[in-house]
Amino acid sequence: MSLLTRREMVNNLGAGTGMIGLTSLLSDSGFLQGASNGGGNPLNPKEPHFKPKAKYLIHLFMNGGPSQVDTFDPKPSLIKYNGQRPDIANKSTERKTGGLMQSPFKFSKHGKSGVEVSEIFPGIASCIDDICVIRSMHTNIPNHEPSLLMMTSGETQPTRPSMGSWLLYGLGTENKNLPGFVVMCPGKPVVGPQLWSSSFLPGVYQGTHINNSTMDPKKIIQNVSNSSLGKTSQREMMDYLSKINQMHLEKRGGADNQLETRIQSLEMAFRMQFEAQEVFDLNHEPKNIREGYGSSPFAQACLTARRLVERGVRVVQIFTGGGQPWDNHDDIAQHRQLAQQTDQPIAMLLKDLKSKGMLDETLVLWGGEFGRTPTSEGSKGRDHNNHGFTVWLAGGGVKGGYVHGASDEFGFAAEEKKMHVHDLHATMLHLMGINHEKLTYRYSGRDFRLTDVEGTVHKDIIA
Amino acid sequence: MLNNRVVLNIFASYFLLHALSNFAKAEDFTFFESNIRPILIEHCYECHAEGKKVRGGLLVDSKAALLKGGDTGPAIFSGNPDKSLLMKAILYQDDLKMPPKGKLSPTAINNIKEWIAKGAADPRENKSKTTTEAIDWDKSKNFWAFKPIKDTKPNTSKNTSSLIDTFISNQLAAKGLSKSIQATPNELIRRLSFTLTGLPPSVEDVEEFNRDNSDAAYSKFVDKYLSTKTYAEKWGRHWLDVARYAEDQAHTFGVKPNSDAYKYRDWVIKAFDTDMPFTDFIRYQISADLTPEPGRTENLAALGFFGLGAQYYKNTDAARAIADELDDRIDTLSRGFLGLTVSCARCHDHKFDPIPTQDYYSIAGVFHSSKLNNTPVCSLEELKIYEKAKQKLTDSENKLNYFIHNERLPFVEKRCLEFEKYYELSYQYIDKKKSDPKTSFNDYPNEKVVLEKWVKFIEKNKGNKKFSFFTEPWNEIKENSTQDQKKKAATKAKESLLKIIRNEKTTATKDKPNKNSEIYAAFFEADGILALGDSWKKELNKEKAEELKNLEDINRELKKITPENLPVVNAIAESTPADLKIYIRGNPSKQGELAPRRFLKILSDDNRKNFAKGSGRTELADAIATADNPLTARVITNRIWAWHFGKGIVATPSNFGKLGDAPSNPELLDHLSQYLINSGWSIKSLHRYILCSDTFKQSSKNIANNMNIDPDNTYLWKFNRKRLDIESWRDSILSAAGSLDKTIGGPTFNLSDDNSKRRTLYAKISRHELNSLLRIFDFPDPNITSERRIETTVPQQQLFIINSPFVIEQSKLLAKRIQAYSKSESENINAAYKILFSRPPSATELELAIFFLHASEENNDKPTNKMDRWERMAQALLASNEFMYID
Repeated sequence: MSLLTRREMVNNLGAGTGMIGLTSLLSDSGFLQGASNGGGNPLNPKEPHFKPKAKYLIHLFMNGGPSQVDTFDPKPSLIKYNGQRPDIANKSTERKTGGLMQSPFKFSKHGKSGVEVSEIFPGIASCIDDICVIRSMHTNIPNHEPSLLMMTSGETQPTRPSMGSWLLYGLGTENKNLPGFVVMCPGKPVVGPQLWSSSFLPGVYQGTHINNSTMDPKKIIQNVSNSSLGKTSQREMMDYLSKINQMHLEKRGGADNQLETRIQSLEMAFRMQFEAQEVFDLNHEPKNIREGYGSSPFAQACLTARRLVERGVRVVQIFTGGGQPWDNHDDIAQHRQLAQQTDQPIAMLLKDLKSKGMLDETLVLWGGEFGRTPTSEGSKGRDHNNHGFTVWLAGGGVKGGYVHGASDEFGFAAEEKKMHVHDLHATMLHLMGINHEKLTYRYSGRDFRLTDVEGTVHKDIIA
Repeated sequence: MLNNRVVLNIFASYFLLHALSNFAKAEDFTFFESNIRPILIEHCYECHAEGKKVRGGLLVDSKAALLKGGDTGPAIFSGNPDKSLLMKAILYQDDLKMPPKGKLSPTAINNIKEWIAKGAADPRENKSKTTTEAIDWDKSKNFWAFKPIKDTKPNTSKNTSSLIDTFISNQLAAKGLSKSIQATPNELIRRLSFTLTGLPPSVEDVEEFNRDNSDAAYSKFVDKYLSTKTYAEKWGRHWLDVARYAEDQAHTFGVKPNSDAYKYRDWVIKAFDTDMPFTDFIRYQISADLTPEPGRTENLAALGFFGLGAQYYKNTDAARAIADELDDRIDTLSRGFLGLTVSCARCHDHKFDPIPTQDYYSIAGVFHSSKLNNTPVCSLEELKIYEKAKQKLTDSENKLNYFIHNERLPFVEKRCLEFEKYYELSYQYIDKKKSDPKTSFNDYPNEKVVLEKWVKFIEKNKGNKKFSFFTEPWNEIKENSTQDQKKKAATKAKESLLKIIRNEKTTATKDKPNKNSEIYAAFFEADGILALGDSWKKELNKEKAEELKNLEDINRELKKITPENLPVVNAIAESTPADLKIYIRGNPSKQGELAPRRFLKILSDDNRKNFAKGSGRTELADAIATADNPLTARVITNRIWAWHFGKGIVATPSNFGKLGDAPSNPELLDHLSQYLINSGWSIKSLHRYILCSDTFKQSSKNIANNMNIDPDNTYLWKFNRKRLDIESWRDSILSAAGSLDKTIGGPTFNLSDDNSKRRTLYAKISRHELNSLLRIFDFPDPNITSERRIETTVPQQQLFIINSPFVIEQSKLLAKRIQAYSKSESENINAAYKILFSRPPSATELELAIFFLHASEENNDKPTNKMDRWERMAQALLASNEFMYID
């Protein structure tokens, strides 16, 4: 009596999604129209403006603000003038500071390039020939919240989409079974979710926050696993659903972008369950690789970042820790401990990416929201400093073993080839094949962009 | 290549032409050409030359431009380098540091200084263009949106049931498009129920409409749904998108969540429920506090429209943050009510619409003259009475406290008799415990209880600066000090304590006695180490005891009748009225011309008046909530149309300016707007008019020929199939499963609680961290006003459907509900289709379902499967496209 045999059903359904023709409506001009029709996946990869150097971004966010003069910007004058307070040090920061304070750490030259690195980063120092150190960074405000927002969204108030969201909007992502913009932080950094917010961009471009204090692949992405049905039974249910949806579609003429897209999307979700769990399960990595990274949450995040990028995820952002770990107001010597926690995993990440041939197309950014004063706060600490700080880039088409720009004699303010956060954003977008002035989104009658009305690409750093 | 000599010759002849007018010598020009022009080209032209993105309003590519200068005034004063801003900038002396990438070389700086000192000879005579073009007001008034509403009568040769259809049909005919047939009764009742209530129609409603689907029956259903609270909930939520409703802020630094936010949401629901005239709806949201009673008190919550607005970081650059907050108010007001992007005029005159920067700051002044306020929900008279009562209570409390402080002191002093003993004993114990961990309070049988309290107190407050008067005397004495020294330390601590308590008494006055301090509490309240509690009261003489009782009685009575706080709403209130000056390029520290508080010029008549009443909010409301304003009626009419059809007649509902879309059918928009005005601004009337049109009743099926001409369905030859928004979809799942909690209004619930069964609009809406379910299903960012829901389809949405505990639970409930109908499988499946899709299943669908119910179970899955086949079927049906997309 049955009109359909089980066999027929399975046959039809197995091929089902393949029969559906999908029109991508994601040309630059068509996006909004496509989205409002529900057509096409807004995360499909898109053509950049020009040939990119880098395809993926890993942002190692040293939240709290590491000190430049104790990490990557050595200043011998601090030793010479230790304790003194020349006029150049009379700059306003968050709190009152005292005289100049020499670094408790020693610097030495590394690699063929001979770039100087603090002793607290032996691992990163061993990769220095792949690293482009920018010693002329500056930002607007010596407070965490506005500066965190500036670094992540190009604006000091929580009103703009994050850089990751912009990149996802501009470039899409290459793996539809994984979120395209992943943020890892054990707990939450200061400010919190606004740092990876999509703001006025559609919600799909928001970063997916993963609390990596424990890595349970089943729970890392919301609803990624089903605890009520076995895999075959779930597939069977999905096949039934798919058949219902096919019949619904055919009754409506058979060609409907909106309805077809959702059918496709259900199939993607089914596959995502397994791929997403697999990527976060680090047991798939060989032992020597796992040990190379280490076992701390930060180390696991670095290894996960490589696995994500390997699978086509566009942007990964890793915070050193919840709160603001690098904020060493009391004692700058605590930088040693923070460096120890992060040095090995970062060095391993760079080496791992390189050995897999991925470093060329993966841009790695290391840095905080601002730097710290060369003058002392209390007896041993350093205050926030927006006037000058250091970040570094690696891979993704930047010059290795290269120092860009310089700060003043004491490392207080950026001086040569000054690079505002807007300029950094413009340059990073450029490396990823995007003209920062052309990646715009119309909202409230205005075309907004990551760099607002600012931003200059610093081409010197491009290899 | 030219040699120097030739170059010089060219220069010389060039100079001759200009020398006389410039009074400059040829060598000055040579100096300019060889030393100044190259610097300007290399370091300045990128941002300060014609044709480039000009910064700070400054051009340096002509003589005139340098003398005219930019936002901050002339760049150079000929002959006076010290006075010249250009010098200050290149010397990096002040905030303005140029060029931004790094200081010029000392030689370059010296050359520029010398050049200015010698008179700034400059051969670049081209005229500096003004960077902004003046607004052509006459032309602007002719733009469609600013023209008065014109209700034209269409050519009515066609037989259509309402003028809406005539307008639509005429246009379709003109474009060569054909109208669609009417949707089926099942589709129609379903569409109607969802668009008005956000919920599926009941099985009974569907059956009734199938029996009689006449126009009269249909319009009865329109009225029925319009009269439900579910209508007000659904449509209130539409408005909350525009109002960027949320209960907190994007950040948590120095701001508190607005715990009364829900009262605004409930006010909006009530306004839709009672069909409040839209002009009143506007007026209350702008100025409820300034409107007369009756009306003021019950509508105060409306002010949440601004009272729940953004608050930004003010820890640094507070002026900028305050300016950003004003921008939030202006943006929400102007896009929300007027469809105008006034915010675009914050830094410069609007580039496309006739809105000068001055108009922006005129409106900003209104909000700068208002402040965020938690306003008590009562009339001003009631407030006065309350404040009087509150004062009475304070007076009585003061009297009581004064009495207590005076009378209690002798008892406090007496209570301290044993202070030294326990002080010494405690420290002795602590020291002893250090050397001998076995030391226990049991070693002190007589003092055990009190001693334990003391030791714990000391250990707890070791580092507490507030108690250093108590801990320091002991810390100061050395080990092995004499008994005498120890005693002295104890006495010192005691005297310090008593001094503080005595001081609390002596500094007390009758009007403002000290309350019991933290120190008093720690020592003398019931669980303090020198617990005195109320025991002293029993030892007062009869007269004093009576006085105390009297005071206490009065106080207790007053407390009983005077509530501690009045219920409040998060609102705005009047502040000091003052005009703002224009912030040049949006920078609050660079102020220009005064901007009197008044309405936008383009929407005012020729004698535009300054606002004179307080902040000016009343006058602002008057200027918007009127039929004289051509935008107000058009904008809300278009929104309502868009919420029904999925797309507005103007496809950009919050932007009616030049960059917005032009209306697809301008006559229809004006006709409907006038209809709204004529109905006394009744939103329900407009709904009725729209929903009863043939245009709304069209089928959503495609017509091949029409698809070729108008694939986007701009001219409405069919109905747009609509995806349910997250609220309607989640509510419908609950409704289908029979578990929807229909409670109306009140505080919010947490959407991440899988057991919550209330309608989604009552969920907590957070700007700091929007609930992930809302976010993945395209809920708009509540930090900013939203004109429409963007629709995306991504796998994360589907993960919720196939895996979330919420959906699985509802699937189980739905399975139970449908199986309860009958003993027959087919009957039950039939019931499921009617509940979920408002129609019976087809034969194939029925068979497919039965097939699914009876398929053999996969052996490997048997231990893991926790859903039976009915439940799985229920989940598949809930997850289906038919349940999510409305024809």
